[in-house]
Amino acid sequence: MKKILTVLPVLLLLTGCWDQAMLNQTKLITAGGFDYTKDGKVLTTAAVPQSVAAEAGKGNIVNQIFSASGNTARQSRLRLDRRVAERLDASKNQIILFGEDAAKKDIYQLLDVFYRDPKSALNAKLAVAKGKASDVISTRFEEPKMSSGVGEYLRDSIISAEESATVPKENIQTVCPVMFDPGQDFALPYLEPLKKTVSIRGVALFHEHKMVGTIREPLSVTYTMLTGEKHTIAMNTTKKIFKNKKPELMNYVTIKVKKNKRSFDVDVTPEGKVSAEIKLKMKVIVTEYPSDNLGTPGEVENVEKRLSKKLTKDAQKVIVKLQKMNSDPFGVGRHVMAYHYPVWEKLNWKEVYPKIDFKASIDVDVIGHGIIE
Amino acid sequence: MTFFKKPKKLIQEKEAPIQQDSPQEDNSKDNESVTVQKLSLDEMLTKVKEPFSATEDLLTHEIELPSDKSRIALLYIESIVDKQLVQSMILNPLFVTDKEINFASFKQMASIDLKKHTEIKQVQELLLQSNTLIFTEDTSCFYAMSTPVKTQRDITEPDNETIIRGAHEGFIENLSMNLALVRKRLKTPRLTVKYLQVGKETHTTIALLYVDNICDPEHVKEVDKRIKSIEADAVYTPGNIEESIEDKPFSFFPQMLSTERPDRVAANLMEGRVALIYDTSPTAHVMPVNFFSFYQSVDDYNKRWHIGSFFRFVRIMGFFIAMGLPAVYIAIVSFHFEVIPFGLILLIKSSLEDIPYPPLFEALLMELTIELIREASIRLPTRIGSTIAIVGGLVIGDAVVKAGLVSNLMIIVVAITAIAAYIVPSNEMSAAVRILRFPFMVAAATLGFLGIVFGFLILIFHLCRLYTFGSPYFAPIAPLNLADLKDAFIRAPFWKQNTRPKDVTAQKVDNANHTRKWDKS
Repeated sequence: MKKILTVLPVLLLLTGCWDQAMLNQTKLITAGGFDYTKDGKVLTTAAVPQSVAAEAGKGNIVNQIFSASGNTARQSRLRLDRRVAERLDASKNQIILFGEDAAKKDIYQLLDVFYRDPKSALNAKLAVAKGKASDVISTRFEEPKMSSGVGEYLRDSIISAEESATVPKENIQTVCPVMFDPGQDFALPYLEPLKKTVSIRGVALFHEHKMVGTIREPLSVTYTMLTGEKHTIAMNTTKKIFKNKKPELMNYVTIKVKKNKRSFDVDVTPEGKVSAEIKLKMKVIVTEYPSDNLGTPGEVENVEKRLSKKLTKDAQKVIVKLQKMNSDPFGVGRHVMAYHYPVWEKLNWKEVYPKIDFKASIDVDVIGHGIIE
Repeated sequence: MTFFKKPKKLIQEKEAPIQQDSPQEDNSKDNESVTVQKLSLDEMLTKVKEPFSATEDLLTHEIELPSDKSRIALLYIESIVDKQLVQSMILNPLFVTDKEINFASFKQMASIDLKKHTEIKQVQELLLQSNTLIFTEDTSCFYAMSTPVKTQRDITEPDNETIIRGAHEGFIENLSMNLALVRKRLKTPRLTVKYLQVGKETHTTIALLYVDNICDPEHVKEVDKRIKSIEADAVYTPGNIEESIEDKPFSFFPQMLSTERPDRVAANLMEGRVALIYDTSPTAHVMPVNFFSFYQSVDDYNKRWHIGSFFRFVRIMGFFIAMGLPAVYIAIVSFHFEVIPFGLILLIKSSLEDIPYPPLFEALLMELTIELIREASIRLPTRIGSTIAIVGGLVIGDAVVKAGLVSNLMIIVVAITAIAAYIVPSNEMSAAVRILRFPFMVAAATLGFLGIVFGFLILIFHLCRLYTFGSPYFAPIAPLNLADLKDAFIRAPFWKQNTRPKDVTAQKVDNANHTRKWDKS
């Protein structure tokens, strides 16, 4: 008993602080960016919000931007740490940006560090920036003066793009298994920095670990629909369904998708020929239709028909683009692998995918037209 | 382990000599009483007064009866005897009657309180219990009449166990009144009262209460045995008894439920438990109890059962908050801040940024301050108490933050913790929880969440191992008894509570609560 009584306080006093991570002695990274320098080194840029006033709630947030280069992502982080007072911590990171050049090289090499660290923020968004990631992060944006910094601003921009179905929902964790899947690829939001704002321009498509191309904004909504996203808060799209009405805006209709049902078929003929087809059945609400008179008989059917035609055309465009880029985000390869493994084993998917017969069709059903007819 | 066994051995060693001693004592006293019978009245009085040395409140009244000129002597202790009673019950009947009266006829017409005694060794005890003794010339016997001075206060609601609805009666410092309060609620012939006396000099009376046909006789035997084994010159408070008979004297947890509410005692007696009521103290002890007994309040049973259940649940949550919240806070800000949601982290970080010392020290400082305020407010009279509220609330709450000594968040944590600790209906349990929070804080500061997990593990080990008077303390969780959970985490409706808790091993498990039979037809 005496032994225990002496050992206990000694143990308590001797523990020290070897694994402590004090909140008030850390600098939280809220946004991180990766680029390559001209001599091939990794350039890491990090935004660290620093609250100025102590009064909670009224705190004015000042973003500090640090950057450092190193041979690897981790080395550049370590060098970054040396330039910053207190310890840098990425566990509350909101977004990781890749410069377009870096994304075209290989993003896994840069992400590796996040998958190894148990404390890393796996729910951080990933995005590809047009130009350099460091430029986007160090931009003095108009909005973040009010909120808590670049990281939150960029993350919220992406979330709002996800809600409008412009980009698919992805983060560090969701991308990981797909990245290593030979039968499937993924797409990330593609940002373009404007002077004082940032604009989500569409999606950047990947093949394996490399970015292979982009699908720009109105078409990227169709892309998100094709992924089978059931419905988001505001899956809106505006389509031109007439050609010669005057003024020009009379040609357009805006719809909001309420329900999106996808059937995805992959067929393999006995000879080993792969064909795929995506069929979407969408229930939509017309949210804008300047031509009006949706109440007249046949008008709704007319709109439905034209919309279906237009959307099918768009979908086909998306698929052609994807096949050209050799990016397979819908997982045709995964289907082949799962249901026709002997065929899959014989195929060199990288070469076969761009040539397969891949069709898409979208069938629109208007179920509402707002509170007026 | 060895640490806990040692005291038990000591008790066993001590028990043996008592049994050897007591018969000898009895013999000597018997011899004395035999010799006394031959004494005259005067000699008798001197003999009787002898042990009281020179106390001046022991009075003797010698009276010559007008009828047969025989002498009688009244003996009483002035300070504890109601003189009015002596006058009206003894002197008046003897003198102020029309008839000529002698002592023999007085005996017949005197009240039921007049008792004949022959053993002179009882004199001391009777005198000290507010009796007036009547000695006659026939010294072979004497008479005693209970003439206690009425010094009891009113029956009021106990301040430390107030409720919103239900009886507002509480025990007082008078044993017979306390027993009356319990009997009033349990009008059953099976309610048994057993008087025990403790303290060689203080002769404190303890009443052991149980319901004969419900209570497990083993419990009664055990309590009886433990109380009888107490050997002390003086027993001042129920706390002395509690510490003498509880199972694990080193545990933080109270192992007997102390209450000042007769309704709580009555309800527990009907569940098959045993109660101890003490003379000169308003506190009663109930045993064996389990952990959840301390979280039950009479109020629960007077509310609608959903609401009662909700508040029961809130109290159990209060247990975890009071014990764990400061520890969790410390663990989060010094080890695992990644669990804080992003929207909150900058807020927390900015309030912590300029605090000069580690969170553990910050928390200890504030917790100790709260305890200081609490302790001060207990001791101070209510009129000065408001000063404490101002000093404690304004100065410490506000100024400490503005001075940058403690973070805003710490104040919130400490305040919530303090409130959660006082939510417990039992003061003892509340104190236990408040003390336990400190080891948890240290554990959190050294090992983070892991430390808290270790802390709770040790706590649960302890609770599961703890037995009080042969009943598991952590029942109905360990050993698990699903049926008994109906009065632990929640408060099931009255018509569902138709079994007695298993852990008290009552003779009758079914308590025949079939109160909604009319609804079934």
